[in-house]
Amino acid sequence: MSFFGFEERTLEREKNRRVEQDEDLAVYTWGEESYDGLGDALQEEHDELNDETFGDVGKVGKDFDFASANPAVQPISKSFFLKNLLAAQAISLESIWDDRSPFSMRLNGSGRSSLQPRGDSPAQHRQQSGIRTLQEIESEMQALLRERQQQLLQQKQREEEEFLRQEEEREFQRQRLLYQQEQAQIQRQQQLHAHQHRTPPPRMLPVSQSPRFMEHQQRQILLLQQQQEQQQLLRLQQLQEQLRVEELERQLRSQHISTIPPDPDMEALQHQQLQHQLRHRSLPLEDGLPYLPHKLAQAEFLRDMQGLPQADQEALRVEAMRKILEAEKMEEKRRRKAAKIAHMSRYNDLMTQSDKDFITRIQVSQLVSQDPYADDFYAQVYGAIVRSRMGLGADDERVLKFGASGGVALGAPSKGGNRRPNAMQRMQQQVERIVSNARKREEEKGLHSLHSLQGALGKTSGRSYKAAPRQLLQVDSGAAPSASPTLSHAQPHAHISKSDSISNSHSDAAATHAARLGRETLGNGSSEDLVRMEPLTQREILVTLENMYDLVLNVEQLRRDPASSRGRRRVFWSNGESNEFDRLVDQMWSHLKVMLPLATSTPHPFISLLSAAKGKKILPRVTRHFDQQRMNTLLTLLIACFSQLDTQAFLSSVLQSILPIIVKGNLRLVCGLVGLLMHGQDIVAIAKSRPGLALLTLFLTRVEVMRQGEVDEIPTQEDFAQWQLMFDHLFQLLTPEFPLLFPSTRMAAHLPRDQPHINIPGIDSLDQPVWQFLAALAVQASSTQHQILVSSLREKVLDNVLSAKKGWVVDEEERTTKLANVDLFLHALGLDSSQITM
Amino acid sequence: MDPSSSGIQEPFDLIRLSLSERVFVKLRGDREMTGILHVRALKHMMGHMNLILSDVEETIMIVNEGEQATVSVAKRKMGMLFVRGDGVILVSPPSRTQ
Amino acid sequence: MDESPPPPDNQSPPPPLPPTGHTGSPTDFLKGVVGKKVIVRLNSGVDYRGVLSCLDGYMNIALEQTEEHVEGKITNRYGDAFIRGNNVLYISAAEEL
Repeated sequence: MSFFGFEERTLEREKNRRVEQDEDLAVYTWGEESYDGLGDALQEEHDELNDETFGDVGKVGKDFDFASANPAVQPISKSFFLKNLLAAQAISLESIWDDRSPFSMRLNGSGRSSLQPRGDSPAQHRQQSGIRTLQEIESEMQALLRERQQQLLQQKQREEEEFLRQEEEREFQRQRLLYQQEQAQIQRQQQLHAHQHRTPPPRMLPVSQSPRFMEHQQRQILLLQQQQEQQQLLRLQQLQEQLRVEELERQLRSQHISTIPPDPDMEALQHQQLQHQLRHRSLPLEDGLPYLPHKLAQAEFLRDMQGLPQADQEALRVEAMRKILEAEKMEEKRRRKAAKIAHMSRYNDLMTQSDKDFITRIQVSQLVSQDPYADDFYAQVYGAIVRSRMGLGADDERVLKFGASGGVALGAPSKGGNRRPNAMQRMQQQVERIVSNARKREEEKGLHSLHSLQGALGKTSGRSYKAAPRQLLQVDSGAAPSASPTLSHAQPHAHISKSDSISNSHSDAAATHAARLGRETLGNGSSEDLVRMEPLTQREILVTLENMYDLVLNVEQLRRDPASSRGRRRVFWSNGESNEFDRLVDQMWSHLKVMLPLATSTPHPFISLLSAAKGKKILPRVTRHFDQQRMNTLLTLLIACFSQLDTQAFLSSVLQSILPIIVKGNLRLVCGLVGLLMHGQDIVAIAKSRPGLALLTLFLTRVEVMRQGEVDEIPTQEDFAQWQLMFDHLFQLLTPEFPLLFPSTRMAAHLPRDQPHINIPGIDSLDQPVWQFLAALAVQASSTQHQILVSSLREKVLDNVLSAKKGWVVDEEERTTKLANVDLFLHALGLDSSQITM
Repeated sequence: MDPSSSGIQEPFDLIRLSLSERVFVKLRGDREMTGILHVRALKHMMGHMNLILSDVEETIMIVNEGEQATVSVAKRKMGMLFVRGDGVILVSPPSRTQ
Repeated sequence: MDESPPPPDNQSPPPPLPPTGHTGSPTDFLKGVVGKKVIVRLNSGVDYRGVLSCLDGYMNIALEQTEEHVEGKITNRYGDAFIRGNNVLYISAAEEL
């Protein structure tokens, strides 16, 4: 028998057939590729003895009952089935469409409806009636179709409601998820921010200007906005709730009044519309709040509303919709913002802090470097090779070694928790090194070519380039090729000079002189060996000073060199650096000509150097680098030649240089220096000069400090005895001159005799250093010396006190100055101006 | 040795020794100026005789063409000046009393 | 350099002939003239008389005891003077070599 209008069909035949005429319909060939061919080996013959074997089970046929509830269905291929769909209409195909069937297929979403029992199933019909006519089938089919459509319509409505609810639920879930994600993200960002604030990345800008800070601020603002929006939504909701309650009340009232039910069709339509609108438009008002119940309440409210009069309903609906739309708009806005933030923060945390540090390092290094090839790796390597060929050594650090000091330390894990500070330190060091390297390169360039900066001040046009100096002559300097001592900084020009021939012999002579003079300075030089020289000429002074400047600049550069920045002190320097430093300082020392004997010339060459403005300026810069011994020598020479110095030189620069030596000097040194001042020099003249007086005061106070024991090296009694002799000698020499030490007294001598008390403006401040000196003298003086001081200065003291007390002063300030000056001295003697009675 | 010539081995030494001192500079276009020379940090500029002067006083001679050619003198002072080398004719260190 | 030099004034001696006993190369002349009185004429026609201290390949010149002569009159005196080479028209000896 055959259901499908085929006679006796075997699987094999069907299969062949299918293969023959397929492809105009979807052909499903499950497992064909891996088909093992077992099916082909099935033996379909010799069924005759089946009954004997299995017993008579009645007619078996081919419609085995797989699913007991359903009539027989052959497990045939789908393509086959589809092809014969119309023909097969007669039988119940529900099982095929059933979800449970492996062949289940959804058609118009009607899978579920097919589960419903059908009283008048066509299959049953068919089984009952047997063979039917085409008309019958056709009509049956149409009836079925109608029935189906009916069912579908109903179901659709049901489904729509269901779908709506599901949709809402899903939407809610989705929103909640989104919200959670957002919250998590914000939290993460906040954490990130906090983190970033704890360890700010290296930056050139202050925090408040950095882009990161701005970003952070923006996010803060955004967060704030979100909060505000949420609050607004909350308010809106409350309002709606209120509105709803009101409306319910009104509805109740209106139900009493209106007896006419609204048009059912109209109602249905409205309902549908509302449903539709709700479905498509309604969006969650508030993520964090119980959305679904609220939403349902709203829907309920809308449904309830239908009991209201048309106009009220309309107004209400419009109002509600407006609110909803408003809320939707807000929500939409907020979500767009959130999405934007999420989008922006996609790449957050892709780089680690050390990555950022690394990038910053590279950028900074490129900024700092003046080398146009600084970021050109190949140029760097090439440069390194060239330098190494030139024999500049492998330790030349001018090549930027990124890997060397933690530039690219990606693979190297750093130990300990101080990784960040280390990175920063390394970066600082690297920057320092880069700067110094750039400077070195510049220097090198300067050495190699005088014209390295040609065009550095702008584009050099053809014409102006022609205007640049051109070598016109091939001059051969002959005698002293590039031996110019004055141009140690640069390759000297080829030149012709009359001093070339002399300079060599001169330097030889100078060496001889130095040797002799050195011996003399040591004390065993005889007067015959003394080389008397003319004082330095202006030009010689300038030459020496220029050389000195070169040396000082080099020394300063050496100290500034980051290679030696480990410690600014020489002890930390490597041998090479230390040697270089010592060499330069030695040269400076010899250029200063301090070691030339006193009698070499008048003024002494060293003093001559200080006569030039440049010399005065450079002295503090030079002496800074000398050790104690040299400074003592220098100080000694300076004191010995004190009267040769001009006042300006002493006060502007010399005092500044020697002050640290004097305030640290021991009693013997001070003793010796004071002795030098008195030996062979006019101590009175020195004492009358402002720097001389300042120096003497300095010595006296220093001794007083030592006397009070506030020093490391306590002088011996012998030293003190020696000093006492020196002091007495000084006191004795100055005694007759005490009043004349005052500028006011000296000036008064030039004034007309009848006006001794004439006021010279500011004279008291000029007198002040003298009073200070006398006070220092008085402190150390014996009682006999006190009496000498008092008697010598009685007149001067009384003069001042009288002027102050009788009001012979210009103003109060002058009066106080006068009294203060006198008291300065009197206090040293244990007296006070108030004790003086007129 | 001849002290007056010591230290000057090439013309640029004359400029070098005048560093930090007031120099007289004669320029093209009938201009003269005095100022304190500062080139120490930029020695390579000396090849061009580019000069940096401070506390400058410039004197400009303006020749008035006419029946009787007269020369009027304009002076001005400047705190700091860069003088491009190609305009320089002569540089003289401060005259010294020896 | 554009301005043409005015005709040499009568007071300045004509450029001396290469002295006898020298090979006659410019360098030899310049070597011989160092330390001697010279006249340096510039393109502008201004003369500088003084003792040649030294000079270099750019014709930069250092003079001592310099007098500036414009149209036969002394207009200035300098202890030392540096003359930028590009202005120099010629250097001539002002005394016997």
